[in-house]
Amino acid sequence: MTLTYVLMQNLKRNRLRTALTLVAFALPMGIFVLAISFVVAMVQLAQQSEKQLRLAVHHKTTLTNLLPAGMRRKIEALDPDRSRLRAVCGMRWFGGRVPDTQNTLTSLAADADTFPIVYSDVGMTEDEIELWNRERTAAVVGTGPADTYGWKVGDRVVLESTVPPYLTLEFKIVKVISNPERSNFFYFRLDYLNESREAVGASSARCNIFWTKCNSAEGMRSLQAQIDKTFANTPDETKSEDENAFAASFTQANGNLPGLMQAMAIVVVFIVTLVAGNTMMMSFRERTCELAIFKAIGFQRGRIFVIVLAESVMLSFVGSLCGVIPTSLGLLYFPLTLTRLGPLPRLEVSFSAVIASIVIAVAVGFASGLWPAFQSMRLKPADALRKIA
Amino acid sequence: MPLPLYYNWRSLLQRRLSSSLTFILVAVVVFVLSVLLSFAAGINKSLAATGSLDNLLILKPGATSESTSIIKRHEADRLVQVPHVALNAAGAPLISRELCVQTSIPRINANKDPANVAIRGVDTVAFDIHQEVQIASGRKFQLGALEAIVGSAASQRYANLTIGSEITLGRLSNRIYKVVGIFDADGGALESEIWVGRTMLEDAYDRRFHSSVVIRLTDAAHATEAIQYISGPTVQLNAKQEPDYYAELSKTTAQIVELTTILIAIMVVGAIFAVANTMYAAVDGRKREIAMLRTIGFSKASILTAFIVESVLICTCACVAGLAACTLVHGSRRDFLSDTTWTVMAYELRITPAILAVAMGTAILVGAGGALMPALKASRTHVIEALRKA
Repeated sequence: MTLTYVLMQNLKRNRLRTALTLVAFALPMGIFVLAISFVVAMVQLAQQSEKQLRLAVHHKTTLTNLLPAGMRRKIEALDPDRSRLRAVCGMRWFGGRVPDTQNTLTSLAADADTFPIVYSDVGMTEDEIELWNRERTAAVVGTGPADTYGWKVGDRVVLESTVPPYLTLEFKIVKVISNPERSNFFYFRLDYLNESREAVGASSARCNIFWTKCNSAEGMRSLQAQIDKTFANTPDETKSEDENAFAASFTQANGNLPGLMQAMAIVVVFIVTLVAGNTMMMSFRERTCELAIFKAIGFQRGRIFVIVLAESVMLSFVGSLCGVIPTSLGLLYFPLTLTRLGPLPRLEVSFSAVIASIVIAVAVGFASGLWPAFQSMRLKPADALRKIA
Repeated sequence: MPLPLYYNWRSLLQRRLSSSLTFILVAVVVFVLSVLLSFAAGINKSLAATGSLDNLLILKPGATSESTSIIKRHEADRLVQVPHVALNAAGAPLISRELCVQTSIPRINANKDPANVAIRGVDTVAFDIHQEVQIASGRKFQLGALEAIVGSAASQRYANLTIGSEITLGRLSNRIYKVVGIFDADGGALESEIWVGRTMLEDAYDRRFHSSVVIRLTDAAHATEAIQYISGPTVQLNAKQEPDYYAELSKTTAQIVELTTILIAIMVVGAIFAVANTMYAAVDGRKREIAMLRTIGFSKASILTAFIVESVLICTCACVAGLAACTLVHGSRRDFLSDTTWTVMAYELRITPAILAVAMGTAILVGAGGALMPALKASRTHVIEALRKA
C-alpha cells in the first residue's frame, strides 16, 4: 500500500468535501496569482529602471513648474570630462490625446540629440535613429497606445495637447517600442514642439524634467547631490531623484494599486490557510478511529504523520493549480488592459508568479496540515478506539 | 415549531475550532470589503460633495483640469454677458476669476513625504459663489495682505497648516503667507486646498492670466443655455456644471474600485464554499441528533431553518467583528494624487450606513448560501436509518 494510494483514497472518500475545499482554495488563489503577477511586474520594472542609471531632475516645488532649457548645459558642465555623466535629455509634457477620445497619453517631447542615448533601453537601431534625426515630426511610441489605436511604423498620427497652448500636432511614427517598461509612452522631438509653440506665439525653451543618464551608481549619487546643490537658492531650485523614486509618485497618483495588490495577496494567503486548516481538522477528526487502527496494526508514527500532512499538501497543491491555471490561461487570451492604472500596459501572469503561487499554496497546505498531523502522530490507539466506540 | 436560538448557539460552541476558523474567515472578508468600500465612499463623498449645480466651471477648451487651463483676461471679460448670471446684494454679477497653482507641503506622517497641495487665488466674490465654503475658525484673508485660509482636510493632513503658521509661496519662494483661518466646504474637494487673494498670487507667480472662472447662475435649469452661450462664438470657452467636473476627476479611482469589487466578489464566492464545507461536516457529524429532533416532533422545515440560522448566526457575529475592526480606520485621513490635476485631495475613510448594510448583506449571503445545501441534506435525514446506524 503506497502513500499515494492512501492519499488518493482519502481524497476520494468524501468527494463533496474535496470538491468544496478545492473551489474554496482555487478562487482566492486565482486572485493571488493575479495580485502577485502585478507585484512581480512592478518589482521587475523597478529593477530594470535601476539598471538604467537615470536621474530625474525636476523643479523642487512641483513637477508642473517648468525649468529653463539652458539648465541642460549647466548640468552637463558639472562633469566636463564625462566621467560620471553620459548625457542629459530635457523633456516637456505634451499630454496629447487622440482627437475625440478621453485618455491622455503619456506623451513627452524630448531633446532629439540625446534621447537615443539616455533612453538606450528603448532599443532604437541605427536606421531608426537616423530616421528620428532626419524626420522633424518623428515619434516613438510604446506598444500600449500602438495596440489601442492600431498604429504602426510609418503612420501619421494626430494628437491634441491638453496643456497650453493646446496644440494639435501631426507625428510620423518611426518606431514602436517593444520594451515593456516603456510601453505606455509616446516620445517625440522637443524642437518640433518648440517650433510649433513659437508659431502660435507661446514662449518656448522650457522643460519639465531633465533625464540625466549616468555611468555608474556612485556617479549617479554624487551627481544627484551636486545638481541639487548647484541650483539651490536660485529661482529654479531642483530636486533630483532616481527613476524608481520618481515613478513612486506616479503609482501613488493612480490610487496606489501596487500597495492594494500586495494587501490583497496577504489577505488571500490568510484566507486559504483558514480554508485548508478547517478541512484538515475536519477530516482528521472523522478519521481518528481509522488512524488509530493504522497505528494498532503497526504503522509507524512518522508514517502516520506523513500521510496526514501529505493529504493537506496535496489538496492545496491541486487547489492552487485549479485557481492558477484558469487565471493564467484566461489572462493569456483576454489580457487585462490597465492603460490608466499604472506603468504596465497590460497584466499578464508571469511564470515566476505562477511558481510563487504554487510554492505558497504548498507552504499553506504544509502549515495547515502540521497540527492535525502532529495530533495523529501522538494518538494513543487504545484511547482513540475506546472514545469512538 | 422552530428550534430555539439557544440550540444553535450551543452547537456552534460545541465545535469550537471549526466555528472559530469560519468566524475568522468571514470576519477577514468583511473587513477587507468594508475597508475598500470606505476608501471608495471617502473619495466619492469628497468629490460628490463638491460644487453646486448652479455653478458653472469654465476652462479653456482642450484643458482637462484647472491646473492645465489658461484663460487670458480678455477671454474672461467676455463672460460678463452670460445669460442668467446671479447677482449679489450689491448688484454685481457672481463671476469668480480664479488662479490655481500648487506647492509642495509635507504630509503629517512618519515619512513626511511631500504632497502637491493646490493653492487657489480668489477674490471676495468667490465666497458668494462657493457657498459651501464657510470659515470654521479664525477669519477670512484680507485682500492685499499676505494671508491665507486653509481647508480643514488640508490642515489635518499636511504639516504646518494651522492658524498662525506660515506658508512659503511664489515663483521665487519669496512670499511668506500667514494662515489666518480654517474653512469647511461640506467635506468637498475644496477642503484640501489653500485659498489666498488672487491678485497677490498672480503677482507672486508672475502669471497674468486665470486658470478658471466660476459663475453662479440664478437657477440650475438655465445651465444648458449658459453652457451653449459660453461655447458659442461670443466667448469660445468650455463650461461644465461643477459636479460634472469633479466626477470626472475620480474616474481612475472608479476603475480601481471596479477591479477590487470583482476580486472581492470572487473571495466572497470562495467563502461560501468554505462555509458549505464546514456545514456539511456539521450535518454529517450530527445525523443522530437530527434524527432525534425529528423523532420528538420538529418538522423538516425547522431543521432546515435551524442549520441556516446557525450558519447565518456565526457569519453575522463575524461580520460584527470585522466591522468593529474597521472602526480602527474610520475617520482616518488619506489623500490621493489626481493624475488630471496633479494635486492631492485629502479624504476621510468612513464606514457609512450603506457600507454597514453591504457588509451585513454579504455576511448573511455567505452564511445562508453556504448553509443551504447542507441544511437541505440535514432536513432530508432518514430518521430510522440514522438512529439505527449510529
